[in-house]
Amino acid sequence: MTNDKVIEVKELTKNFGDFIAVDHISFNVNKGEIFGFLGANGAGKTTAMRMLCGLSTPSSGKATVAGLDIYKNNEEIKKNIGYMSQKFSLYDDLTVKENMQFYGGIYGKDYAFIKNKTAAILNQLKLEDETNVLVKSLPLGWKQKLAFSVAIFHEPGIVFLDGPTGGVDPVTRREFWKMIYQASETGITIFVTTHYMDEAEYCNRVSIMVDGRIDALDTPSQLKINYKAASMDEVFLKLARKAKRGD
Amino acid sequence: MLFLDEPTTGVDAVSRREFWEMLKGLKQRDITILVSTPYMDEADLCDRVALIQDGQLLSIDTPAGIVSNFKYPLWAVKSSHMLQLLNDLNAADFTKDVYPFGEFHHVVMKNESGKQALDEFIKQHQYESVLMKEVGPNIEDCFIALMKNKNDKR
Repeated sequence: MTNDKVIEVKELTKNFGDFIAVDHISFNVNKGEIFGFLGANGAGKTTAMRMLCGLSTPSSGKATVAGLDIYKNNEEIKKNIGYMSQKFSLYDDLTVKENMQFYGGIYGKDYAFIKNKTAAILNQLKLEDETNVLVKSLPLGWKQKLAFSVAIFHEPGIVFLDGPTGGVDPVTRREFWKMIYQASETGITIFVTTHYMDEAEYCNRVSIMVDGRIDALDTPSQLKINYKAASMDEVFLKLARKAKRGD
Repeated sequence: MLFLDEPTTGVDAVSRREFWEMLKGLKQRDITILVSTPYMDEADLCDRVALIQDGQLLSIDTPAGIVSNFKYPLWAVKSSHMLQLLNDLNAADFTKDVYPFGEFHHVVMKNESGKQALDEFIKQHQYESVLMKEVGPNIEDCFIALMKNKNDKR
C-alpha cells in the first residue's frame, strides 16, 4: 500500500428516522496524524466514530479505514483499530493484568505476545505493584492510562479515543497527552474527541462538527487565523454557537 | 444550598458556559453553591476555590489569591517540533517544570536568571519557528504547581 491516508471519508451520512445525525461529512486522516474531532454534545461525533469503527452501518456515503471498506470489511476493521470510550473500556471486576490478558486474547494474540506486552505496559505505567489489583479500585487517572494502553495493546494502526480525558485533573491530562504524542511518534494514527480546548491545540489538524456537518477543518493555527480568534476556545464558541440542535 | 458533583464533566464548551450562567443566576438569588469540577476555567468563575488531592486540602483562596501565590517566572515557548522541545526543556537544569499549555509549552523557571539560560538554550538547540514570551500564571498553572509540590514531598 502506498496510500498514506489511513481514513478516507466521503459524504458519509447516518439517519435515525427523520433525524440526520451525521450529514454528508467528508475528510481524510493521514498516517501518524493526531486528528482532533471536535463538536458540541449531540453534534454527531460519536455516531460518526461508531461508523468508522465498523460498529454502525451508514445510511449513505463512503469510507475506508486502514484501507478497508466500512460496509464490506467492518469485521476486519475492528482488528486494525483500537478504541477507547468516554467510560474507559476496562472491566472493573478484573485485575490490571487480567484486563490486558483478556484484550490480548480477544484480538487473537498468542501467549508470548501477551506476556511480553503486559510486562512492558506494567513497567511503562509503573503499575507493577498493582498487577493483581482490581481495576475498580484504581484512581481515575491510572484507569485512563491503562485504558489507553489496552486500546493499543494489539498494536493497531489507528486508535479512536472518544473523550479520553473527561473528568481528569490538569496534571494527569498532560501525562495522558504525552502518551498520545509518543504513540503518534511510533506511527499510530490518533483520532481523538475532547471538550478541553487546550487539547485541541495539541492536534495536528482539527475538525469541528456542528449539527451533523463538518463546518471547519484545518490546523489549529490556521483555524485561529480563519476565524480571527485568539484561541481554539474562541474558534469553537464561534462555530458551535450556530448550532440549532441540542442534546 | 446546592451541592453539585462535577455537573459539567463530559460537557462541551458552549453548554458549560450556559450552565455557569445559570449558576450565576442562582447565586444572585442568595443560593450558596458548592461545586466540584476538573475544568480550571470554571474554577476561575468561583468566589473561592479549594484544591483537594489525596484527601487533603492544598489551598483555599479566591482565584486571584491563588494566582498571586505563584512564585516563579513563567514563560510560554513554542516551536515546530513540540515533543522534542518539551523533552529537552524538561531535561534542562534551569527549569522547575515544563508542560504543554494549549499551543505553547509553559516553562516554570527556577529563578529570575532563568531568562538568560532559556535564551542560551534556544540558541543552542536550533529549533525552527521559535516563539517565546513571559506570561502571567493562571489558576491551572497554580494547581499544577500545588499538585506536583505535594507529590514531590512523598
